[in-house]
Amino acid sequence: MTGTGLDPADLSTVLAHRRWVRRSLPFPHVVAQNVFVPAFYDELERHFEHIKQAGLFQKNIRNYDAGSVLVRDHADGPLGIFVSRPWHDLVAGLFGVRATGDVTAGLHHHPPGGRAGWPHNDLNPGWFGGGWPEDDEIRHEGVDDIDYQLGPTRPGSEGRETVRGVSVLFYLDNPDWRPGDGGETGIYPSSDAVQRGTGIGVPPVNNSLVMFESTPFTWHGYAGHSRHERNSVVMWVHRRKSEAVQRWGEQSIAYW
Amino acid sequence: MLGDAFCRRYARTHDIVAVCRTRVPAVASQHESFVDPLAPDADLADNEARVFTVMADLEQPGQVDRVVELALARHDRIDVLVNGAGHQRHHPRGLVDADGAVQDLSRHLAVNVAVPLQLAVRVAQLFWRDRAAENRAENRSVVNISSLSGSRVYPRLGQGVYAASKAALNQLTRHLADEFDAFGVRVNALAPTSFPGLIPTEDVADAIARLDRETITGRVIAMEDDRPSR
Repeated sequence: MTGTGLDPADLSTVLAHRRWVRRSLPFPHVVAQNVFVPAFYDELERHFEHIKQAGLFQKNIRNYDAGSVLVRDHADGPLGIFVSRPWHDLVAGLFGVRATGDVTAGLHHHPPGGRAGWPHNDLNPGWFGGGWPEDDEIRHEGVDDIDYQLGPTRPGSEGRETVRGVSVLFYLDNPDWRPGDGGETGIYPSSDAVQRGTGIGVPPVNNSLVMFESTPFTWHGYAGHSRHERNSVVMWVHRRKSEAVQRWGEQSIAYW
Repeated sequence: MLGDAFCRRYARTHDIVAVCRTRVPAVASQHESFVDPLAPDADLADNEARVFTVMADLEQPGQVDRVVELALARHDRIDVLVNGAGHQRHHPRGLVDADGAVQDLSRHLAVNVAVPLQLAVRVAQLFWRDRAAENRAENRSVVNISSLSGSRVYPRLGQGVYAASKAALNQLTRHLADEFDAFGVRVNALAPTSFPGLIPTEDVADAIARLDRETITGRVIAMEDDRPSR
């Protein structure tokens, strides 16, 4: 339960409505505005702001002009909803992905005027420790001496290699956004289209989200040039690597 | 805004081809549908009525032809053409302040007059011209979205160029009505006051639907704010 008595484990009590929008272009994705009821969104924003004011954001993502924090380390507050099993199942269910229960989620903070990110498709591997999670279980990244990107970091530790299955981006704690403010997430029909800039922008409007199945074709990236700071939660559920290889081939996996 | 309101109110009763430049209406289409995040496989009533969206910048060469051909390919017929695309830029410092108003005239005429003319003519050429009896039986028509500014002067709002384009659209409407009468297609214009500021956008959408059902032609219908002044 949260301070307002809302129970994030019961998503029906914190979602503001149940009419999200599924779009097919430039690749299949789901968008939603006013995702959470105002009382719960306010809690998410306060939690995010608390972490930001505590100076916990670190620029630790290579070639990426943003500070980040793992939600895993703050899962006991409202933001923990993004690494909860109900949220994991909702995300996987929207795209029919047989997700493993392995989750990684981060808070991102871009300063005003931050550089654009590099275009990528998110079909990356992700390592987790322990056995395959049960149906009601969540497994976080970076535990049991397993590095999310590199795998086992200590002789004798055993890890499981998965592949990202669905990507989620949720905007919060941003100044009011208006056209021309920049800071959108660009989503593109192809890698060539990234060069031409012929995609669509998903603006950083608070309490809105975009999510999509991670495939070889889901080219996207932070468009940069934001007039204001730009804050978000990014989150992935994962699928078994064998499934991704069978579907798209080993060469399609974007190794770190 | 008006297209969105019209689609939301009439997608269930009309087969709509929505021509969009940047924004699409908030209704289901061939590219978008609603999904319940907690029951993603559920059939939603909101998805039963879908519009067919066509992304097009009607100012660009060939786009009017493409839109008309796609509409006919999709539905085999066009019963009503609603010319709702519009360009509006005011010059509050007046027509003689620098060259802004002069430079903006051509785009206002292109979007507010030339595009409605091209669309009406192209639909007539490709579908209506040789179907007079069928057109009358189906009560086919054109509805041009004009503005009260096309017949009135609102001082110091800088509407001169915009208003001139809407006045031209009004007169074009009357001439089209005269010519299209030969093959049984009615042509009218709707001239609302400011929406949604003074009248609800939904009222304008409903007025379009009423004009579609009427039998009048060659009329420019004014829509004023008839609420009591406060």
